[in-house]
Amino acid sequence: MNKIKCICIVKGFAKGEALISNTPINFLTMIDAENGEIKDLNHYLYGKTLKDKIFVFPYSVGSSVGAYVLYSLKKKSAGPLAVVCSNKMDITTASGCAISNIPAVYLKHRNIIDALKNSQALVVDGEREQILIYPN
Amino acid sequence: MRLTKSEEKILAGSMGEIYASAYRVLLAIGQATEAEKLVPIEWAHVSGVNYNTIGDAGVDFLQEVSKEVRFKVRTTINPMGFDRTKPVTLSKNFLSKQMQIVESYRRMGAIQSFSCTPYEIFNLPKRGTPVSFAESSAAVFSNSFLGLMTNKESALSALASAITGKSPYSDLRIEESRSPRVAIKHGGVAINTETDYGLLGYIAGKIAKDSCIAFSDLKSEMEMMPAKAISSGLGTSGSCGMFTTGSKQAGDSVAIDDEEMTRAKDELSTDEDGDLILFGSPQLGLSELTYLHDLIAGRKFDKRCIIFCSRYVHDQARKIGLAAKVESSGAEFMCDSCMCLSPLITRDNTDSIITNSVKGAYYMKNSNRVGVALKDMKTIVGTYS
Repeated sequence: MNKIKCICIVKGFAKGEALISNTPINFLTMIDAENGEIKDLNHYLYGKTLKDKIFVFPYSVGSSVGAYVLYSLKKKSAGPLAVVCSNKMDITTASGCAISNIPAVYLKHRNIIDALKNSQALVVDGEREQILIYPN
Repeated sequence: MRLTKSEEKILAGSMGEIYASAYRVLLAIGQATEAEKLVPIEWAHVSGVNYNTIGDAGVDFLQEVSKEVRFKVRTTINPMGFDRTKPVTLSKNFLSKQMQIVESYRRMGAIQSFSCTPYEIFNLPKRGTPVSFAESSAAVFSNSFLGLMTNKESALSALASAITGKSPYSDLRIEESRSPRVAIKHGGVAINTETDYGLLGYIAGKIAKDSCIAFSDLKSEMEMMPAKAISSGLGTSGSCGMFTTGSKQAGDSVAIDDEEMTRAKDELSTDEDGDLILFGSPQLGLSELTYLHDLIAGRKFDKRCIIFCSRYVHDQARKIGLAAKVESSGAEFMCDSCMCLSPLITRDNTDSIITNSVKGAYYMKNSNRVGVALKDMKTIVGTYS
């Protein structure tokens, strides 16, 4: 098990499988607000869902309304268990997670998460500001 | 981030759960942007007005918030789904949900602006004034051309600032952060039309890692139409909230070539042709309407053409006779609303649209899921009138 440091923006604790996007996310256009599926036809995770996953992505881009998508997902129980921004914590993600009580952390050095694989088991521990990575 | 004693109390619930949530949002975005404190803002511009963008969860959320909240500062709002003065063909469900949203914002004290270009409509605070703008194109434009100071806010962070009158003192609200460290050099690439400017912004948004970027090969002075186009392109693809122009900036540079421009255009422009011409995203101002009128020069469009406009700009254009002249081309005005996620255009009624807007093309393709022919305004008028 690997332990890496993170910076906590919205507190909480989550344990689950990682879903990793290596490219930035526009929540409004790329994520289905009804069920959490990645609906962007050009994204290599097309058809996968954020629901009950720990969603790892660099940061969000584009629409300011993306924050409401995170809130809608939470209301429909289709949201991620936690989010990990691997580059920086942007305002859309931070505000969407804060209003929805989705634990949210970010990493200052993205390379430490490059080795991470989809479906790998993670623990996001906001209180201790650490992520535990379990071997596959 | 340090909060004052009174801010701490509200965060702890002294004014109820909604005000506590507003401070939770401010605390989260403050920590995300490494702010040391909150500062008063003079103006909030809130997105999340069109029912297509926020859905049922958003409708219910705003209704709850509006029961307790009155906005503390001047608050303007983004476009909604349709033109209030026109007969609409939308579903009963859309209409009633949309009107609930409008009513919630009204109750909280929002100015009924329904515009993504508030900077063209309202009196502007002096340069250096902290504001909180959610609409990405408006945030980029206001930072880059008007000297207003805002981060690229989200719908919910701008709402929290409208409620509390405060935003984090961080990033683009601090003068030192408003100097770019990386410059985009487009060198020999010809940037002539508003669509070229939009594409340049769109490409730069994907490259920029910081909140401010330089276009060192662009002239310092820019007219309104390219300025709006590049701002909205940048806001669409990135997290960057500001740019500078002119050759003064130092630091690293990234070169853009013709191939990249072609690739970006191919990504957004899926079709050669379309059924419907759309102008908007951002809503047109008097400068674009005047340019359009000059291009048409008495001819008529041979396809349906919709112009998305704020009601203020439309009324002004009506007063000076410009609206009637533009309409004589067969084009129609659609106020209060805009192109992005418009419920008026769906796959059921439209195969593909023609637009000059890079932002419009992106959302029409990815959210409305219709085909897009991306061409500049001059080419559109030349081809279809």
